Amino acid sequence: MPFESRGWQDETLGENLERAGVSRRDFLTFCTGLAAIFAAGSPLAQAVPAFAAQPSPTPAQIADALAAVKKPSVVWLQLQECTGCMESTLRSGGTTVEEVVLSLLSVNYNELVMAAAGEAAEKALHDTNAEPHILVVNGSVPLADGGIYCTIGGKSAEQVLRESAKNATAILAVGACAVYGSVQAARPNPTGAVGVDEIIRDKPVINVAGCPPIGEVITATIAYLLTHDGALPKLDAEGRPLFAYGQRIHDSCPRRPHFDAGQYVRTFDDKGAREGWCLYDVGCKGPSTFSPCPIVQWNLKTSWPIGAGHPCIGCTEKDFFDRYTPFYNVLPQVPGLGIEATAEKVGWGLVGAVTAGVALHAGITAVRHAADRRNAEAQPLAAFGDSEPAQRPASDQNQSATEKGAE
Amino acid sequence: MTTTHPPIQVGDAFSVGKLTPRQLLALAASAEPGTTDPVEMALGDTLRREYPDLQVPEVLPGESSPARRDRRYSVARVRAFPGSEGAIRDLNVMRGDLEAVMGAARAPREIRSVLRRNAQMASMRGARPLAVASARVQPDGSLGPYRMQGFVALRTTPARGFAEETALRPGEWVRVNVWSALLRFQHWLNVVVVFVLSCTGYYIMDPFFGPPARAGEPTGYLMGWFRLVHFIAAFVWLAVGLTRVIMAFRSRDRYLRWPALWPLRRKSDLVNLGQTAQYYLFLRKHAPLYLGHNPLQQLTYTGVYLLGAVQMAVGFSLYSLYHQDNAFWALVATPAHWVGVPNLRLLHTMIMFALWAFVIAHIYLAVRADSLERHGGVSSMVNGGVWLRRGSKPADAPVIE
Amino acid sequence: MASERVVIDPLTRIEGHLRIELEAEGGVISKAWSETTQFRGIETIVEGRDPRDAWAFVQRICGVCTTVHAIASIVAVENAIGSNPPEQARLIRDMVLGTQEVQDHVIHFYHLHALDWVNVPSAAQADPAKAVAFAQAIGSKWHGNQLDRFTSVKETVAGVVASGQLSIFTGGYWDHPAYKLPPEANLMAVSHYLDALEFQRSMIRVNTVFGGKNPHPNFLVGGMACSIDPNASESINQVQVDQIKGWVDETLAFVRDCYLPDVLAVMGVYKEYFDIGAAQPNFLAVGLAGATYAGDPATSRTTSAITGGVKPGLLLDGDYATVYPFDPKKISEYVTSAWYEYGAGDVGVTPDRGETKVKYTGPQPPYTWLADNPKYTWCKAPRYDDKVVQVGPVARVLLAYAQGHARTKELVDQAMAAIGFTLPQLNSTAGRILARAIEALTSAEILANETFPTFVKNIKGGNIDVFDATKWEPSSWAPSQSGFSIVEVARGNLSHWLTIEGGKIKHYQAVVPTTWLAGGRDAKGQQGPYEESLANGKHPLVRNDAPLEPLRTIHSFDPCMSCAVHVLDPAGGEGFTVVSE
Repeated sequence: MPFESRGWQDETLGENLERAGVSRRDFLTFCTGLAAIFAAGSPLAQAVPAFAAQPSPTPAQIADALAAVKKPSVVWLQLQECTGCMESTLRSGGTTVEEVVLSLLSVNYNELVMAAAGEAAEKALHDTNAEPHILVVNGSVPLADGGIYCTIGGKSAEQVLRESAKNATAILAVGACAVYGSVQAARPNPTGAVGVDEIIRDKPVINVAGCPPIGEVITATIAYLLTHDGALPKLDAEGRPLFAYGQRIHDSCPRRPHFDAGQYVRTFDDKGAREGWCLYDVGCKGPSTFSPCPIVQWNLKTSWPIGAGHPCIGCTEKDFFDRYTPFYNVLPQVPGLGIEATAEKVGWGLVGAVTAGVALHAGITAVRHAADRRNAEAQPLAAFGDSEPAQRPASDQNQSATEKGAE
Repeated sequence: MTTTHPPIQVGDAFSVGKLTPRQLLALAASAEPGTTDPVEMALGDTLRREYPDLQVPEVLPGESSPARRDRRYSVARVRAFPGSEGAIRDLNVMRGDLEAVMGAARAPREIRSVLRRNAQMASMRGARPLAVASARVQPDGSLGPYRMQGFVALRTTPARGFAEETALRPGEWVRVNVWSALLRFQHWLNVVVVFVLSCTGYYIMDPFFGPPARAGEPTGYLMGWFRLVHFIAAFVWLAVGLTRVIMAFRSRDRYLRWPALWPLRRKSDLVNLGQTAQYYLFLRKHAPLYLGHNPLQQLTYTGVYLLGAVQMAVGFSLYSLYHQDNAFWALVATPAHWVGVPNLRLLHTMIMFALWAFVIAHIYLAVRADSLERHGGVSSMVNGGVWLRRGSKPADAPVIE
Repeated sequence: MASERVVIDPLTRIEGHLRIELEAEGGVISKAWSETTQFRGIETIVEGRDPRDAWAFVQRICGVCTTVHAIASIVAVENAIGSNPPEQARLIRDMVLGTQEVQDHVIHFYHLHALDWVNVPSAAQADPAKAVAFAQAIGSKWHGNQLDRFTSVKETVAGVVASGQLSIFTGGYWDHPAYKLPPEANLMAVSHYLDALEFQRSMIRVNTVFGGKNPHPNFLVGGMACSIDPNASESINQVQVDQIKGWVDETLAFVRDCYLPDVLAVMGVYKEYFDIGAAQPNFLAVGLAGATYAGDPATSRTTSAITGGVKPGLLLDGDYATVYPFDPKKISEYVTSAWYEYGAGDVGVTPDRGETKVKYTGPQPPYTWLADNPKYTWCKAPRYDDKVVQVGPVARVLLAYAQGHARTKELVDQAMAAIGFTLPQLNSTAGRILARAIEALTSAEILANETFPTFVKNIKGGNIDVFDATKWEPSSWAPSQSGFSIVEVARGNLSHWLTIEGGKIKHYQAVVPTTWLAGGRDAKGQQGPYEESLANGKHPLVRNDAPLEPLRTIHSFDPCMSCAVHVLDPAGGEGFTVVSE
C-alpha cells in the first residue's frame, strides 16, 4: 500500500473538518461527548486554563477551543512492556502508522519513534499533558516497592501515567500489559504489575486487548474516535471495543466446520493437521477468546495463528498466561494439585475414589452381616432339631399319629 | 440347659398362606401347657404381650412330637384354631428348620424361593426363621396335605452389629406417603437429563473419538449433534430446576418447601447428624429414624441442589458467550469475566465429576437402605411411600400409628 | 570549567527504558553510567510451568526482537528433553530468524536511528530533483527514488512543519550543528524512512505464514505447527511458497538497493564517527546471524542451516586475526552495579549457579540522579573470562572476516575502500551501524539463495515433516533434565538455559545480547561497553541540553532494554549443571 501524503492542508481542525465534510453541527455533537467526559473527570476542567472558569464547559466552548487547535495531540506512553504493541502498530495496514503520526494526529510523545530524547522529550510530554489530548498507553504499571521496577525520566510509571491521564480526553490501554499487566502480572507477579484501569478510575479506559493487538485494530480504535465525534466505541464488559472483540475466535473460525464434524488434530503435523482440521483437542483457546483474528487476520491479511496450524493461546483475554495455560491442554489444570492435575485425571480419580469407598463400605457391611448370620445360628435350639429334645414325648401313639400325617 | 439360653426375641411373622402375620405367630406359638422349650416359651410370651386378645393355641399333652436331629421339625396337633375366614379347625402344625419343613410339606418351588429370600433378609438382621406349615384335620380324622404358612423370625442370641439397629418386634410395617408424584417425576427426569448432559458434556470436554480423515466426503456434524443435545438437555434441566424452585415456595407439602432444605433447626438435629455420620462410619449401631431425609442426607441433597444451580449458571454463562451483543446474554456471561472462560469450563467439568461421585454414593446408599433398613430407598422414589414400623417415632414426624 | 551532569532519560528510539547519566567537561564526556530502569522478572514467572509453554512467556521479553526468545526457548527445551525437530522445521526457524533479523536491522536504522543523522525539517527545503540525483550518485538503485515520490514526501514534511505541530519530530535537535547531511540527502532519507515502514510491513509476512502473526508468532517444541503439504489447501503449499519467494526477493532488493547504499552514504558523510564510540576490543559470536546451537557449540551440532563455515569463537584485545575458542563455562555475571545480591558476595557467577536476589538500593522515584550509588541499574554485567566483550553484528562481521567468510570479507573491504577506514575502526559508532547493514545483506542473500531454496527443494523431494512427536508428552521425558541453546540474533549472542524437573521448569535463565553491552561496572571497576564507548574524555558532547552525539553512539548498539534485564533464580535454590557431552 503506497504511502499517500494526506497531511492537513488547512490551518485548523475546524477548517480541516469542514473540508472533510464535517459540519459545525456534527462537531458540536463531538464536543458534547467531550463535555460529558469533562463533567465526569473534573480534574481536567481545573487543569485546562481555558476551562477553569467553569467546572463544566459547554459544548460550544469546547468546540471553539478545539477548533482553534489543530490536529488532536497524542501522548503515547510506553510503560512496563516489550514494545511489541508499537511494533504491531508499525505493521498496521489499515490506517498506517505514517497516517497516524503525520496526517491524523500529532503524536507529540512516543518513546519508540520520537526524535527528541531526555529533557527535550520530557518537555514535549509536559507541554502536551497540559492540553487536552488523546492518551494511548502501552505497558503495565508496576506498583510494588514504590514503583522502582519501571521509571521514566526518574518518575515511576504510575506517576507518568497519572500526569498524562489528567487532561486526557480519551484513554486507550493498548495491549495486554496496559489492559491487565500481561506476562509480568502472571503468577507470582514479582513487580506488582497492573493495568491502566486499575490506576485511572475516574475516566473510561478503552482496552485494546491482545499480546500484541492486531495493528489494524489499534489504529482503527484511534480512527474510531476521530470519525465518531469523539464518542467511544461500544465496549464489552471488559472495556474492549465490540467492533473488534464482539465475537469469539471459535464463532468465526474457518475451521469451525471441522469442530462441528468432530474432526480434530490429535497430534501436530498429523493427517488432520495437514487437512486443516480443528485444533480444539491440542488446546486451542479459540472457544474462550474474543478476538477478530479470523476476520481481520495478521500482517496484511497474510494468515493468523490458527491458520498457521498453531492453537490460539487466548492473548486477548485477561490473565491468559495464568488462566489459559497449559496452552496445549483443553482445560486448565486443577489448582493446587500439581502439574499433572488435568481435569480428567482428577475427575476420574474422584469417581474412582468414591467407587472404592463404596466398595469398601459394602464389603464391611457384608462382613458384618455374615457375622450376624453366623451369630443367628450359633445357639443350638431344640425347636429346630439342633439338639435332641430334653424330654421325650409321653405318648408314642400320638407321636406316630402326628408323624403319619407328615408322611 | 434352658437356663443358659439368653432371652429369645421374636420378630416378624412372614406369611405366605392365608393367615395374617398375627395368626401365623399364634400358630407358631402353640405349645403344650407348661412347655419348657425356650422357643415355645418366647413365642407364647410375645403373643400374650403383644396381642392380649389372642389366645395361645392349645396343644394337648402328648399330642406333639419335638424336633430331632434327623427330623428337624416338630409336629403338634392344635385344637380349634381360629384360622382364615373365621373357620375354626383342628390342625396339625409342623415347625422347625425352614428347609426341613419345606421338604416335608412339599412346598412348591415358587413358595420356597419367596421364603428363602425373606428368610435371608431375616438372617441378615441376626434372626433365624422358624418355618411353619399346617395340615387340616379332616372331619373323618384323617390329615389333609401340609401347606407352608410362612415363618417367624427369632433372634436367638444377643444382637450384634447391624442386627441391633432393627429391634425385633412383631409390629407391622406401615407405608407412609412422603414424596409427591411431582417430586418423583422431577427426580427421574433429573436422572435422564443429567445422564444425557454427562455423556454429551464429556465428549465436549474431551472429543476422544471422531470420524477418520477421508478427503472428499461430507464432514458430518458429530460434535454439532452432541452440543445440540447438550443444549436441549440443559434447557430441560433448567426448567426442572425452576420448577423445583417454584415448588419450594408455592407447594403446601412440607417436604418440598424451602425450609426443608436446611435440616439443622434444633440442637437435636445436629446430634442426629453426628449420629448418622457415625452410623455410616460403623461407629454406631443405630441411625436416628427419619421419615423424610435425615440431616446428613438432606445436607447432601441441598448441596447437590446448589451444585446443580452453580452448574446451570456456569453452563449458561458458557453458552451465552456466543452472543455478547445481546444485553441479556452479556449479563449471563458475567462469571466469565471474573475467572476467565477456561476456569469456568474447568469448574463445569469438575462439577460433572462431583455429581457422578454423588450418584455412585447415592445409588449405593439407597440400595443399602432398601435391603438393610427396609425403609424403602429406591422404591420410595418410585411409589412415593416410605415403610415404617407401626409405633416407631421418626425424629421428623409424629409416632407412626 | 567544572564538569556538568547530564541525564538522558527517557532515552528514546530504543526498546525499553534506558537512562544514561553523564559527566561532561569541555565538550567531551568524562564519565558515563548506563542505567536500565525497568525490571519484570519473567524468568521467575516461568518457573513451575510446562516447558512447552515457556516460549510464549519468554517471547514477551521483547516485542522488537520478537521470535528470537521463543526460538531460543524451544531449542533449549528440545536440548533438555532430547527432541529432534525435523529438517524442514529447522529451516522454517532459520527463515523466521533471517527475516526477523533483517527487518529488525532495517527498523533500527531507519526508524530508531536515522533521526540522529537525518534532519527532517531540512528535507522541506530540498529540491526533489536534486534528491533523485543524490540517490543515483550514491549508487542507490531503489525503485522508490522517483521524482514524484520525493516531491510528495517533501510536501508532507513541509505540511507537518508548517502546521507547527511537529508530531513525532517535536523537540528534535534540528538546529544542532552536528547534523551534516545536505537537504536533498535528508529528503531521500525521509522518503526511505517511509518506504522502510512499508517494506517491514510487507516482508515480515514470512513470519506470519509460519507463525500466524508478528509480533510474537507461535512456535512449537519439537518442530513447527505449520504443516506442509503441497497437495492440501490448508497447509503450506505452492501458494505460500510463491508468496514467500516474493517477500524474500523484496527483502534482498531493499537491503541491497536501499539500506546498504544509504548506510554507506550517511556514514561516509559522518566519517568521524569511525573514531568515536569505541568500546573494549573483545568480540564474541558463535557464527553468522541466525546460527543456532542446542547445547555447547563445541560438542553439539548446529540446529540451523546457517553456518557459512563460520565457527564460534572470540576475538580478544584488538587482535582481529586470531580466533580464540568459545567456552560457555567462562561466562559469568556481576551484580556489582546492579540491584541484586549474591550470597557469595561481589563475584562473577557462572550461569550454572543461580542465587540472585533483588536488592534495590536506589532512591525512591521521583529522583534526579542515580550514579552516586555503587548500584544504579537493573542490568547485570556479564563477562567472558572476566573480560568485557561485545556481541552483535560487529562481533559477527569481525569473526566472519577473521575466518575468511568470502562474502563478508568482500563487503567489508568494499566499504573500507569506499569510505576510507580500517578494520579496527569497525569498533566504533559508525562501524556498528555499517556492520549491521553488511550483515543484513549477507543474511538476506543466505535467505534468498540457500535457506529458502533448500526448503523448497525438500518439499519437492517429499520431505515435509515439521514435528517430532516422540518427545511431546512429558511422560516421555527423563525426570530431571537440563538444556540450553545459543542463538545469534539481531543484537548478538543469546542463550537460554533451563532445568526441567518432574515435567515442569525448575530454573530458567536467559543471557541476552543487550545485557552484555548495557551492563554497568564489575567488581574490578571495568565499565560496560555502553559506558566505555562514551566515557574517558574521548566522546564529544557539544551541547549539554541537546545530547545528540551520545544518542548516536548509544543508538549504534541498538539497545533492547527489556531483553537486557533478567534474573538468575531469585527464589534461590539448588544449582544448575551445564550439559556438555
